[in-house]
Amino acid sequence: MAQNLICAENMRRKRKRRKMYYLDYASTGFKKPDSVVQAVAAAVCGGGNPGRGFHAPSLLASRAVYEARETVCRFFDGENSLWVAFTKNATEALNLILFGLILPGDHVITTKLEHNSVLRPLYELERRGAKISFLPCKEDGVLCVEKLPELLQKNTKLVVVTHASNVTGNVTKLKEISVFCKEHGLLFVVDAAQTAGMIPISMKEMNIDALCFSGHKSLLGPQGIGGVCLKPGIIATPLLFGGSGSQTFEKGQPASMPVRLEAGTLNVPGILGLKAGIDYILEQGIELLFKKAEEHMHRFYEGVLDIPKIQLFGAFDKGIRCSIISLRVDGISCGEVADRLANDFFVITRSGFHCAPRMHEVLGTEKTGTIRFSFSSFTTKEEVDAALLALNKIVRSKV
Amino acid sequence: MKESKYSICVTFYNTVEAIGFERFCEKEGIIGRLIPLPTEISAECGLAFSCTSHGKEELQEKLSSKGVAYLEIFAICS
Repeated sequence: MAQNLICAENMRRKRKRRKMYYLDYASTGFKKPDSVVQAVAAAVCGGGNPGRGFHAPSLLASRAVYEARETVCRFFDGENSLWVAFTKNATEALNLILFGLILPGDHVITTKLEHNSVLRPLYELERRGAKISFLPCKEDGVLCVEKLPELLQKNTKLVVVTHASNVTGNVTKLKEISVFCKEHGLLFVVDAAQTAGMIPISMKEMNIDALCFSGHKSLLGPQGIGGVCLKPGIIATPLLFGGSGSQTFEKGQPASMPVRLEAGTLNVPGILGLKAGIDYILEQGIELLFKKAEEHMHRFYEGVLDIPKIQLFGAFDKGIRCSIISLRVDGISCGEVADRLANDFFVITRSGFHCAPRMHEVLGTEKTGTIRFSFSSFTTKEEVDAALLALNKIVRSKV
Repeated sequence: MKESKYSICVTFYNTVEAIGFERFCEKEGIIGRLIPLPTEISAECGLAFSCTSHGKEELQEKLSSKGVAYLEIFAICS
């Protein structure tokens, strides 16, 4: 037993010395700017509870969180920072909005691209009496936006779409959907988990009613922070009830935003880390960061085309896309490929179904899954080339 | 006879509004500070802004032209 532990520790140390090639940014951002780490550490090392008192530590925390709200609101071109509510992730934000706006008898339009963070709340709402329709997509995962009118019903209340598929990287044309929503008086909810921080989003220009985002991916914040930006006047029923720092003797949750949707103490280290991440993006320029990630994705794409037995998924010739490439190797399971990439070559990817079951059904990968490589501006050419070399070796070893 | 003094007190729906109001005042040169809500008045939020540079009407005028969120403005006799 002791010998096994020593062996395991030796293996761990050996691995630690080896360079790791992290290509799973669609799951979570692995490298963060130093400023993010410093902001989180500073918040952890001292700070009051925002909105819970008039003493200096509380006010300092309140002011810092307020600045973060302003930053988030400006970043997404929202109307009013009071309508930014922080959550623990995009999933919580989506739950907050979907359960807060959809009632039994309402009809909702969504898409086959969605992550379970949208699908599972909708399935539960369906169980409670709501109706769901799915906008189809083509074989390459591109949405058939032109089919939206066919799904419209008298009781349609809301359209919820992902801004980009976390499986294929295809980006949704939000403008076309927003025009449809405006024409028919529908609420427009966007899941920006994959795009927030990678692709510029203007809530005003795209007429978005609720934008749900994750803080730990391209926004470069720590895990455990996300949120929703609402168009002023969109009143969602709270999902959580509890302390708000105001209206203590009222039985109900305060009606005013953002405390209406923020019961309990906020994740201040997460919020300030998120703000530092957005500040970094603004300093560097979101277009520049996007271009860097895109170059790595294209380098990988071009390299993969030379490897036999690879099947790629997604649209690569239809304009802007997230830096994600999903593929499958004929004759080798995705799990085996990902395992060999990780253990033999230290290339970190994500294999499986990526919490997007309907997307995999469309792609025909519902039995096999895919291996997803995802890139960021922090990715290096060395990492891309290491992944290509590793993939090539694995494939050719089976030829 | 002692002369009555009035202080101007702004109340809010919640603490986030209060912080936003404080930030607005800094930019606009409105002098004052956040205080615990005085017991003479009731409001939704336990923070209030005590203003020392503007009268009630003057402040109301300034705020309405900028669309700043707050609940009420009180002139408290001390």
